[in-house]
Formats: sequence, structure tokens, C-alpha cells
Amino acid sequence: MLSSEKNNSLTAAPRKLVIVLAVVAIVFLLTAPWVVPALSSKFWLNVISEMLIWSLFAASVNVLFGYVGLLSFGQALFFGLGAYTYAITTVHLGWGFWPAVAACIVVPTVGAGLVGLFAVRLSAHYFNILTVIFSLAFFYLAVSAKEITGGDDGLPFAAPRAELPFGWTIEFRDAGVQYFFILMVVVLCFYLKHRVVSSRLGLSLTAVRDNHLRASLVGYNVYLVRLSAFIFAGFLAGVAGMLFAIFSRYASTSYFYYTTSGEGVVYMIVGGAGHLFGPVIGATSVILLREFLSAAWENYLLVVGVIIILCTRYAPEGLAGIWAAILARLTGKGERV
Amino acid sequence: MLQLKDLRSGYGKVSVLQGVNLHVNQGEIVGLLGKNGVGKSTTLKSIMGLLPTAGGSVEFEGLALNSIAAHKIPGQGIGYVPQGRGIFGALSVWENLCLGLPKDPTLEELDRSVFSRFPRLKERLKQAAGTLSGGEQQMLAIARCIAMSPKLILLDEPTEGVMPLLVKSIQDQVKSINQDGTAVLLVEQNVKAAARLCDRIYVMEKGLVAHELASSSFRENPDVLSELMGFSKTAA
Repeated sequence: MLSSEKNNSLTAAPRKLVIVLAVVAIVFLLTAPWVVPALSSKFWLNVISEMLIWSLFAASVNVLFGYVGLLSFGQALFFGLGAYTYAITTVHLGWGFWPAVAACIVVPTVGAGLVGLFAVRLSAHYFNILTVIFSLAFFYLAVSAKEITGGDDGLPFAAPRAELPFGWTIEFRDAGVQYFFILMVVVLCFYLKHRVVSSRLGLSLTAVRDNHLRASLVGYNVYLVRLSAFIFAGFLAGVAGMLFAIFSRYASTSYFYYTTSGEGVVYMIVGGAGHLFGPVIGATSVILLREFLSAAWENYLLVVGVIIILCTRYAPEGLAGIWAAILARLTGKGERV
Repeated sequence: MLQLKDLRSGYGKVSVLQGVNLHVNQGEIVGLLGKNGVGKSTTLKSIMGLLPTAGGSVEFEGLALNSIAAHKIPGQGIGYVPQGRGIFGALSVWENLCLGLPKDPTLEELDRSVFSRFPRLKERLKQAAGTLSGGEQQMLAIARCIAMSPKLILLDEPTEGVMPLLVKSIQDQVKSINQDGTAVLLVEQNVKAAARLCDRIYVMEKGLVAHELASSSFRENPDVLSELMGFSKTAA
């Protein structure tokens, strides 16, 4: 009962339909490495992996905008930090897979803490601009530090191989194994996000989003609440960046660019800000649209643009909001969705 | 317990409070009356640290409030129900009641402190607060405040915009909260209501306390207050 998410997500929907859809989604995700190539080609398995990663990245934008009311156009910074931490630690420092993964968690999270110290003091467009500036500063830094980052060419590396106990290994060369690793990490991160937004911290995030002045009147330190959200969002974006680097065997300076942040914002808006699975729905829809349309029409981004305009105008809670509203109407429940 | 000495405050360069002096003793209901724009709400906001003080002091149980951050003031035992209710519309009634508490309350705890006074809220626990009626939102705002067990509550026009049927009920609850030991500083436009509830009343004019009256001087004849406020006769 504590979570705002419970208040505005799918709790009003008919439970049975939600359970059926959830089971179908789970079965599909668990069997995708076999089912998808059998139905079409392995290409689509990679597309699903990409959807999962971008869902996680959009979730980081969602933590800030959907739950605490801060629209960041600088999440690319932490995405890039995650990607480059993996590339630099493995290529330049020769670290193994797990130490590199640990570094990919620590570096973007600490980075978000440092940037957040300054950024969350500001609100609205001042916050938007500052986050973009930080992201651009790192972009130019990464481009100029060619010996470390590879500059415009980026930093490629070989498919990772992770050692496990009892002599087992995870071979990322195998697309199916790689897919399951990405799926596991994304699911864990979403579970963590669910726990956070359902906790008392989540309640304080929503209170600050609703009205930061009132939140301070009930004893919340608005600065600390926003900083906590910023750090958590940085962690999620960093993990997404790491996964994307592992997935593409490459870290690019373009990951730091604000257009990467924009992708996260688009997926969140289309999917539905403030909904736990909004980013998944948004990333899945837009990436599917891209894959189908891009083959037919090179200017497919115009269609994406129109969809975003329509969403912001007619469905401010995105596809997740529309879905929840339809289900609520079907069941005649009037609770906010 | 609350002492304002020569308090000066305002909005940016616009000075509103010109040196307010007032105090609230333990167990009292103190009224703050005056025409619109004389600085009643500004006084409450300054006490809560929402506006920077330009001079003077705000002390609560010996602690200088104007030297601590706004979010630390509720923790000292001061609750504030601002004008316009100040609830969190996107959160449910239950979530609103949980805000600011160190841990989740049990239903039994809230039964004692909140639902015994405002039973309508218990029927609407899962409802989004923004969908409550005006009177229920006001009840929730007061309920959220008392859930934190404050020693002093600052109420800014609690019956403004509330349907007449609920006005009396809210006023009765304010009295009842006070009888349980919580002091109240009440900003009110309704002179009759203030006269009925308050032990002492300050009348403000142009950012200053112009008059201080004990209940003996207005309880029987609220018109005294209207005259001091510059109204010809008592408001309903």
C-alpha cells in the first residue's frame, strides 16, 4: 500500500489478464534463444537484447522524471561511463570480467553522486541544461583523450568470457548465453527499482515530485531525496552502458552525447513515465517500429517524432497509461492508473 | 513554547513582516486575524522556514528555528497545514498519512490518533488524495499533521473553501486536538469561528501585531474583533 507505483500502475487492472500476459511474456523471454531463431532469424534475438538494454537505460530516466520529477538529458554520461569503464578496464588494464563489471557498477554510481551534488540543487530547465552540459563535457573529454578512449573510433574489444565457480564459464560469443546474461541483469535491476520505488524512499520521491515545498514541510530533505534518486538512476544507466558495450563489443564516445540521453527520454515518454514497466513498453515499441520502418523508409524517425508528439499531447502517461486506463475502464474501477 | 521576537520577513525585496512579536503557550489555541495581505500566512511560512527571515527571531522551546533548515522543523514538533491544504494528490490517503513518519504506522496506531477523529478517511485509504472532496482533503491535511504527533500545529485558514456541512466538524476537531494537549496557532478569516475556538487572538495590521486580546474580551462579543480588523460587523 505504500508505493505510489501501486497506486498508479496496473493494480486496478483485472488481475487474471495481467497474470496471463505476464506468464506469456516470461515464457517468451525464457525460450527466446530457441523460439526466435526457429521462427525467423538470430537477428531478432539481438534486437530483443537491445530492447532489454535500452529498457534499462530508459528506466534510469524514468527514476528521475517519473518518480522525482527531474527530466535529465544527461543520462548518457553514466551510460558512457558504464560502457567505457568496461572497455578501459579490460583493454587497457587487462582486468578480468567480474572485476570490470564491479568497476562498471562503482564508477557511474560514484560519478552520479559527484554530478548530482551540483545538479540536484537545480530544478526544471536549469537542471535539464546542467545535465546536458556535464554529458557534453565528458563527450568532448572522451573525444580528445584518444589514447585512452579511441576518440571518434571508439574502443573495440573481444567477446568477453566470464569465469564461474566449478570451472564453468559464460561465453558471450554465444548469442543465447549473452542474451540470458543481459536478461538476468536487466530483470535484477528492474526488481531493485521496484523495491526502491515501493519503499519509503519511493514514497519520498513521489512526495518531492508532487510538491517539493510540501515535502520539506513533512520533514523530507528534498536535496538528499533528489540526490538519492540521481545516484540510483546513474547506477541503472551505468549498468545499461556496460551491457551495451558487452553486447556490441565496443565503447563509443557517441554514448556520451546528448542524443543518447534523448533516446532514453523518448522511450520513457512513449512507454509512460512513472510506470515501472513503462520504459520496457516504450523501448520495445520504438525499437520494433524502427526495425520495421527503417527497412521501408529512411526517414522513419519522422514517424517516431509524430508518435512522441501524439503521446505528449494525448497520452502523457504513455502506452502504459493507456493500457492501464483501458483495463481500468473494462473493470469499471475508477482508481487512478 | 513558540516565541516570535521582532520578526521581519518577506518575498525577495518585498518586505511583508515589519517586526512581528507573538507567543504561543503550551496547550493554547492562539488566533492570528487580520485583513488579506497583512502578513498572517507569511508569519506561518516564516516560522516554518519557507521564507528567509530578514531580522528578529523565531524560537520554539528554546531552539532558534530561523537557524535550521525547513525540513528539520517538523522534526522539532511543529506541524503545518498550509492554505490550500497541501496534500499530495497523486498519493493515496494511506500514503499521505505515512509521509514524514519514521516508520510505517499500523492501522491501530492511526485508529487512535487519526481515524477516531476523521473516520471518513479510513473508508478511503486507497483512494488518491487528489480525488477527495475539498473538506476531506482538509481533513487529510490535518490528519497527516497530527499523525506526526506535533506539540504545536500551525493552521492556515483550515475551513476556507470547505462546504459548510464540514466546517463545524473541522473546527470541532481542532478544538479536540487542542484538548489532547497540542497547541494551535490558527490563521482564520472567520471571526466567529476564531472567537469560539481561541484562547487568545492577535490582530495583525500592515505586517505588525496591532492588538492582542484575551478570550474574556471577545468570547461574548466577537464584534470587538471585527471592529479591530476594520469590518463593520461580524463575518458569518
